[in-house]
Amino acid sequence: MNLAEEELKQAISEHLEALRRFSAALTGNPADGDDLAQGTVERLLEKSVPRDATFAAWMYRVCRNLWIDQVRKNARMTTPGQDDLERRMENLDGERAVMTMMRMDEIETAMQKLEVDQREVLALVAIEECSYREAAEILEIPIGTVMSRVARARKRLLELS
Amino acid sequence: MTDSNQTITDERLSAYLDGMIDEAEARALEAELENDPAAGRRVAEMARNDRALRHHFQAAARRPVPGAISDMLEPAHRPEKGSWFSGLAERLTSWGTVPPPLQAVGAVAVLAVVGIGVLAMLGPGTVFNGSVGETSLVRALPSTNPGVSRFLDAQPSGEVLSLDDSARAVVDMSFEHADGRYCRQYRVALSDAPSAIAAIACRSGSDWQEVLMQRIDGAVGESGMFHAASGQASSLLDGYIVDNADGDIIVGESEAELIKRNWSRP
Repeated sequence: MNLAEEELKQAISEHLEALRRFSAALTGNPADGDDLAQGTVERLLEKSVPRDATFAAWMYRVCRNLWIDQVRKNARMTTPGQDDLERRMENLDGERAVMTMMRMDEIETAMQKLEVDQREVLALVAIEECSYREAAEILEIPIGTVMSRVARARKRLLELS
Repeated sequence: MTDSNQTITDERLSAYLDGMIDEAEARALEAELENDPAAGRRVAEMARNDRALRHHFQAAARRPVPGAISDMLEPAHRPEKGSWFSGLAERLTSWGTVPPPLQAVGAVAVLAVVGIGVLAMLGPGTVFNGSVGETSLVRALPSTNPGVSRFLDAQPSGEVLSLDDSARAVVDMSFEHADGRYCRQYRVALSDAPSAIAAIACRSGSDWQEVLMQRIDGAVGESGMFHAASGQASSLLDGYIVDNADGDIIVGESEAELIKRNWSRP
């Protein structure tokens, strides 16, 4: 049995900030993120959500699946060209301070440089603060795979920052 | 730490950051990190990158909700077309890039009484005992209730102010208007009422003026945060911010600095 329309709208409204945050992290920028969030809301309203499902997990899964569809349709998203970040990397001083945090303008580019499977797991674990078990259930992969992917994603971010 | 290190792997550091290793293992890893400064710096960099990601995308998620999304979440029981409310709402959304006209005061003066009643509860020693009413409303009055002004002067965004367990107020965000004024969006809710008030006030001289005010359906959660009953929560306010804000929302240290300077420019 699915949630009724008003219940569904209320649940979406309560989780809208998390959805927009997750969408922005997946796409790598707020504007594309809101497009993805809009598509997710449309899909949720169209298909509804089982009453016994964990709403947040269901929402993340719908969002992630929509994004994967977009990635497959648009190879450009996974193979960005030479950009500001790469130019910065070439200019990096080997003696740079190791404690420097990524600049805000690097974050979006860095996220876009991650592999799809790394980006989605990092968004769930590091940004949405899901447990490995929750992330594994949402992505339908083993917990061990979540662990290795999030470690690789963090390693890649260090290389990019 | 490097990949050549056989004991402190990125996977271990990552699981440690995520709290996915048990207490004994965490203490053992910390002891190892004491003897491996490079690995210690690496895990610190990972943690700081995580924090940067959360901060960045959280700020992105708190931008005004796009109309295309809030429209989909409108409640089924929208006011009938042609009612005084829909006429007002259309007028609000058609204001576009210009500030709300002061002459709107006349059209909404009756409604403003409701708003004043709600806002009165923020004044010292006052008790609010009315209902929020059926209206969504706007007003552009000369100045706010003094209690509201003090609240807007000093309250950081996201921190809930509780008033005798009867009401809660929170500033949602601060932003700079294209005309140079600092503005803040805030909400006030009564603990025993199903509705709340959402408003935008802009700093004018040494005072704040409400430029938009809207009744929203919702409730006060146990955490003190507001849970909107639907996406219509602040669509009018969002539209105003989209049309009038200049630059990013003001958060964190930038907002704290403005509060410290009493919203004056450096």
